[in-house]
Amino acid sequence: MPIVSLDTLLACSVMICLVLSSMVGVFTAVQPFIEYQTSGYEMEMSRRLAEYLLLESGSPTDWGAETNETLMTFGLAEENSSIPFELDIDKVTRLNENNRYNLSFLEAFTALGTKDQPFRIIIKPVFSITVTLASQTENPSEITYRFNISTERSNLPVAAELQCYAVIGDYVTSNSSSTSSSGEGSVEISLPKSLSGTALLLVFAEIEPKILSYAVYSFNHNSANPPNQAGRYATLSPLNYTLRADLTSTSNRILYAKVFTYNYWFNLSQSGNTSTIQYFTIPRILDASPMILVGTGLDTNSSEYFAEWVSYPQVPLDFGLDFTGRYHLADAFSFRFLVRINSAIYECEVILGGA
Amino acid sequence: MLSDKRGQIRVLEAFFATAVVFSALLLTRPIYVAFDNQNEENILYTLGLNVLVQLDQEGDLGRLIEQRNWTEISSRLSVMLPLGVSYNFTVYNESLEILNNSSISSGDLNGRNVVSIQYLVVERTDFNFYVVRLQLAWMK
Repeated sequence: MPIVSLDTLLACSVMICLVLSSMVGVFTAVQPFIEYQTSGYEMEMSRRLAEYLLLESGSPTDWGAETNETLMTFGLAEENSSIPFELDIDKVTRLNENNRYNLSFLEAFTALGTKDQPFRIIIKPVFSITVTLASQTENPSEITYRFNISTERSNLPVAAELQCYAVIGDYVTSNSSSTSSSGEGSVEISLPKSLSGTALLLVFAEIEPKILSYAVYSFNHNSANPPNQAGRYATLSPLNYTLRADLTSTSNRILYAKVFTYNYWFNLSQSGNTSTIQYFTIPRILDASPMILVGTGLDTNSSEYFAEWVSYPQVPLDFGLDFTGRYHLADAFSFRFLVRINSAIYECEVILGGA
Repeated sequence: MLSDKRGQIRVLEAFFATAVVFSALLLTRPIYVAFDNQNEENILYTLGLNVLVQLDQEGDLGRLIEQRNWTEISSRLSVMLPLGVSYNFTVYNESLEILNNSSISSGDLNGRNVVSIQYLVVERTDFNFYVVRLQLAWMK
């Protein structure tokens, strides 16, 4: 065989190797582009869908307050709101599974109209409060409680102004305090010894105007019994500025109902009554603050006060599918927004699964 | 002898072609990286715009600029933006002159992919217009 043929054979072999390797190389290099086109499109669509959930009021537009109407289109924005990311207090409240009027995920998913895109909505205050009972001192007429309060955001301390209320039966007392830049503070509250039973400490904290959080600490006052568990006497469900109390027994009724915000508190008037359900009207308070609704009454057996409470809007809440499955986690897109509910700012995370 | 030289040239051609193809592949990599960052930039842009909209509710941002209260603006931005995001905030007047005489920033933006969001603010008492620019980047 002449040497030129060997050269040609070698060149052809190199060429074939070149073509094959370049095919593999080009495919490897182009694959991310192709994937990017898909994933980029999915992410953009998910982002727009997340915004849609928070910018559109859905239909009927008052589906939050009107529980008899069938939800046609899912959206959380307040009806006729001129402010972006302002959510309806009742639509948000209905996402909480503990509310009597809660919306099921299937209803919301069907109304959203995306066939294969599951979602999850988490709404919570921008920062958190932790309350612990530090000490208590007694004198002949009252007991003074000292509580340690810490405020933190994403596990880092933040300074906050505190407004605290203590409630037992019909008795309310309040005190102001603050947490330092290390996020630590304390507050003292005195309750009369003439009352006994479950008392609540309500703590509102503000780190910037309209950025608030709250915590409720339940403790026993002047009693050997532990504080009653939440829901033992009644389940409270606020909606459409009406508080519904579903009683667990006909004998233990709510005698006093109150609403608390950062700056104000009011007694609630009863607007309806059956053997196991009580209704109270909630005033439309303009204070930029979450509302905490407290219902108290006397336990007929122990003659001690019990206390039940709920927040309005009923946050924090976690609505929708859980994306912790190993197949879900890889394809989920998470978007974080600041939203307004009743003029106060909350953090909202919308997680959308890949289609 | 002439035939041998032709064969060598063909081999050389093949190697040249290989080098061209692989260098082209190497060059496409930075483009992919740039494409990949676009997702993060879109998320940052949405985040920044959402924070500016909330900061400007009820004319708060315009009022703070009118008061030249840069500390309060910085404090609110630090609370509203999630941890892990660096920012730099600049306020311009109608003539596009910088108004904030002290830095309103947190973290370091140098060497990072920075997203810039411009936003028009109206002060509602005297109807002064301001342009604000919020630059954001992920801390890595």
